[in-house]
Amino acid sequence: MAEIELRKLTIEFGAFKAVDDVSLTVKNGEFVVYLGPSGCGKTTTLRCIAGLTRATSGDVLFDGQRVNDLTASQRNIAMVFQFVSLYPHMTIRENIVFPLKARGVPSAEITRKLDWVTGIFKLGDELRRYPSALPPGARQKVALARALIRDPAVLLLDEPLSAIDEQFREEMRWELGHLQRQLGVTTIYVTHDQREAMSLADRIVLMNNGNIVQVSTPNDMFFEPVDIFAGQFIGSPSMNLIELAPVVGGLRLGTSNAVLTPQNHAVPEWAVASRRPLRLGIRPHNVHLVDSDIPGFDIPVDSVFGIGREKFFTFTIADTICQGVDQRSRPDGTSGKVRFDPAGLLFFDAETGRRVTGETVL
Amino acid sequence: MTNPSHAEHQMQMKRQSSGRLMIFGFLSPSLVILLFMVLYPFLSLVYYSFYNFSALRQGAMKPVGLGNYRFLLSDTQLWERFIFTGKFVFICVALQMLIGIFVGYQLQKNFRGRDVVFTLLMMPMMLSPIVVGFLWRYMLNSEWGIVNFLLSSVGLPKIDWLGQANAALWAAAAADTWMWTPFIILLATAAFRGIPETIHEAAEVDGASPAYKFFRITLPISAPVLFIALILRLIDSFKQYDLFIALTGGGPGSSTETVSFAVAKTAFSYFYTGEASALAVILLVIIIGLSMILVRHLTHISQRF
Amino acid sequence: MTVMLHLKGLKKTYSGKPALRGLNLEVRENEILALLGPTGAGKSSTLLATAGLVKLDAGRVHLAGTDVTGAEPASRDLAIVFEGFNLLPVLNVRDNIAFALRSPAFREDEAEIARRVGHTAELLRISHLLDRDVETLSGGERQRVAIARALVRRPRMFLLDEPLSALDLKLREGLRAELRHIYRQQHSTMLYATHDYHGAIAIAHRIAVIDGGVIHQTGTIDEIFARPADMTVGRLIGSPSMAFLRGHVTEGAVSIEGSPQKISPESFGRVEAAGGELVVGAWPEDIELVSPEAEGANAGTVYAVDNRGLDRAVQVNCAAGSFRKVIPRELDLRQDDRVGFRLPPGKIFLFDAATGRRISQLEDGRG
Repeated sequence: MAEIELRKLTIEFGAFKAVDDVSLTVKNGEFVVYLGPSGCGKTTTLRCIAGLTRATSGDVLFDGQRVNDLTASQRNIAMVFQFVSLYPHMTIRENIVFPLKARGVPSAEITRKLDWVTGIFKLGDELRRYPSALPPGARQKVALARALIRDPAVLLLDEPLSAIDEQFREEMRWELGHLQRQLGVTTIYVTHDQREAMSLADRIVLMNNGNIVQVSTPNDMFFEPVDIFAGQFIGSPSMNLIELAPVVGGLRLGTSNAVLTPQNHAVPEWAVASRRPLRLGIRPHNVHLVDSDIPGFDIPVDSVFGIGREKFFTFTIADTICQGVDQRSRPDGTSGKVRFDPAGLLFFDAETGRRVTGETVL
Repeated sequence: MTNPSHAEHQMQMKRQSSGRLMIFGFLSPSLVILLFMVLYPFLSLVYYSFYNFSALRQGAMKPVGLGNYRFLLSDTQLWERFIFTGKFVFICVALQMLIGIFVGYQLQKNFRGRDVVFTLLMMPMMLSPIVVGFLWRYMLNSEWGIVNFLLSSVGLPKIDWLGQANAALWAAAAADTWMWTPFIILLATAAFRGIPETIHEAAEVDGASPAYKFFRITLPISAPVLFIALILRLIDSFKQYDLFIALTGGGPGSSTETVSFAVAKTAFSYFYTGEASALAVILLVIIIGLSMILVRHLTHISQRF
Repeated sequence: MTVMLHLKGLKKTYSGKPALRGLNLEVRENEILALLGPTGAGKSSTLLATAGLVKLDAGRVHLAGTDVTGAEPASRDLAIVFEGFNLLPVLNVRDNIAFALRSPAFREDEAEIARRVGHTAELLRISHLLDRDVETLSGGERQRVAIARALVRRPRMFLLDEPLSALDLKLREGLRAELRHIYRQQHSTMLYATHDYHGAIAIAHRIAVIDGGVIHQTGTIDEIFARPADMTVGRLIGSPSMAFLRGHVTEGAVSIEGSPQKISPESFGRVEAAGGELVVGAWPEDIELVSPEAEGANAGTVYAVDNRGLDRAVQVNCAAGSFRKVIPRELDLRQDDRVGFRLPPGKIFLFDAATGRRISQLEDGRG
């Protein structure tokens, strides 16, 4: 268990700034996920915490102690890599106990720890086998076992599920979530998959271009994104983004005839009165097809698709294809009125991309 | 469920047989070469080994069954040659593997000038064994050779490298090692650098010291490649002939005559062609036997990957 | 309702490993059929066999009524969009798309080619990329060019393989959007192979569940939900998929392991005689979560919680097995909480544990 602090961390490779002045504290036992598109700096940050990449400036602290100058083996960390890093010439058993053997732990202790880990991961049969005989999902399980056998202060995971089959990935995700909560080890997890982040994290650190965009709980990240990037990165299908044009008493959706007003969609007054151009963000699950007696817009529906219990429909506003969800079973091709759930309206500054709320001075 | 129509079936068959013809056509030049340049000489070799035959006097050919073999295997001088060959092979392979692996380890990481160093190290391998033999012969000359010059300049006595049986063994081993260690370096470096970086990083994170990493991870993972290198060097040094012709001529006396050397001498100096063939077959059997054992072990250790 | 593609009894083995074991499938004209199954189920083999790129050991392929089993791939008038079908790097986008039209088999004149390429490029919104080199395109753009190349021939049918790797999530969504778009314009017939349930329901009219080289069930999602053919279907359909609990028959009633709740056989409708072990199946949406003390509740523990944004999912472990269920955000369950659950009569299925087949048939026509 350890608390990790990053203070004004900057990592440069030649002229390229991979990580730019990042500061963050990860609390004891917390599960923090670094999320972002490839190249955003998340993996570089993780490797710096691990001790595999040197910081150009700034500090990395474990429980208040500066560890910048310690090598990876000197920091009490364990790491699971994206592409399998099991030693191919050793059995699963030998792989798992390697960290203990390398540090000269007595064999009685090794046996005890091995039994413990085998129990958690239910590895009994596989111990005798070699990594090449196991599917990628099972191999990552072993990599995790090898990481945890040392009871590390910090567990670092670099996109561990990316190289695994879809079906295994979901299973592993559930297991990982359960395990971390059970063991309570401070965990830092890197991924580009927002689904994984939402599912596992106590807090998500959203990064882009070397900078931290937002740090929040999954719920806050979903419902209160700080800008358009955050709003669109989280959530699948992606958030709809529509230009708004101010008209008398409301906001018009792009060049269509649909106008949002405080009366029909509970649009806040400050949004109507805004002098800056705004864009509307609204998630597909907050866009519905309603019957004609409910306030909505007569926008032609392009298509209704999906055959599950939720149907998605698309419509076009100002050249933007938007998606909504229709939960009632209706035959294909019928029209209806499009309604936005007032609780789901998110307003963004059209120029800066940042989200504006009532508290923001406009 | 209907079966394919007859016409369809015929079309498929035609497509298949024209494909096969093409394959055979492409393979035939190699097959012909193989047949005439490898298979035929080999079969002749075995054939002649059962005859009292000399290439010079072709008429007087007498079948002697296993006579040649019986003679050779009871010849004490031949056994001495076997022992010498064995010593030579062992020393060469041991030295080359140890030095080669050590140097390969140093060359794992990139450093400034690495490519230059690497190219220089590869150069001895580019020379032909005869040239290397003569080169070392001059270097080891007991009076004016450079090796003895260096020895005497630091106060050590000069050694009669090529005039003494014992020293000559080491001289030959030194020359062979100088020439062939680069081969091991090449393979070892390739094997070491072929290990994914994540494995090294994982080992580091797991707390392994550099030595622990090398012996428990780098070396075992590279084992198949290194083993192949070992097998190749083993077979090659068994066959070493050019070096000895140039360096020692088999001397002093006949103390540095390897078994290969003996085959050549018997065949082309004495022209006991039948006897030489038998000896060649014996050598072949030994090499094949050794190789089979080693290759089986190689398959065994590669199976995990 | 005409049948465009009819696969009969396809069998194919690759060096001792059977990939297709007597596969039967029908794709109707103007429909998008999703071929849903895990990796190794035989999806790629099915597509390859349909296209004629792989020789079958047995079975027939019928396209629009004609038996094309022995025919060359080029003559089948199918368009293939696979992950591995890369664009030709030496040609620019325009030439890539036009490539098929210039092949000896199709040979159109240049004016016609230019027209068709232009029209298709517009359909896929890549008109601005026509003169670009293929290497300079992003993954999503390349995908659209690949689709355009397939589309421009106006084939009878499309065979598509969904990109597999996780990195292509956005690409996958993009691909589905493009296909919906195309379908709206042209009502093409498509066979779409995917391992992702969401992918299937986002785009297809019907789903064919494939595993172990055979089709387990084909139908609309409603049909499948009402009458799942076997446990494989239950495992692959739904998000989360079907809950399976071990059960046995005691005193003429079915109960699940470790639970007092007795389910009278009538709840399942007609039940075939079961040889051995039983499995009780229910769609998670139909399972009721209640307080552990509630009457008739089965005991369970929350194993883990998954935050999905708008809602949450929990995994509940109990003596009879485990299941996952979506719960509304208001319900604040945490790991290790005790919960109770009830299986609603009339909405549960009985499966034979050995064969996986459903052995219960509900009376109200759902069976």
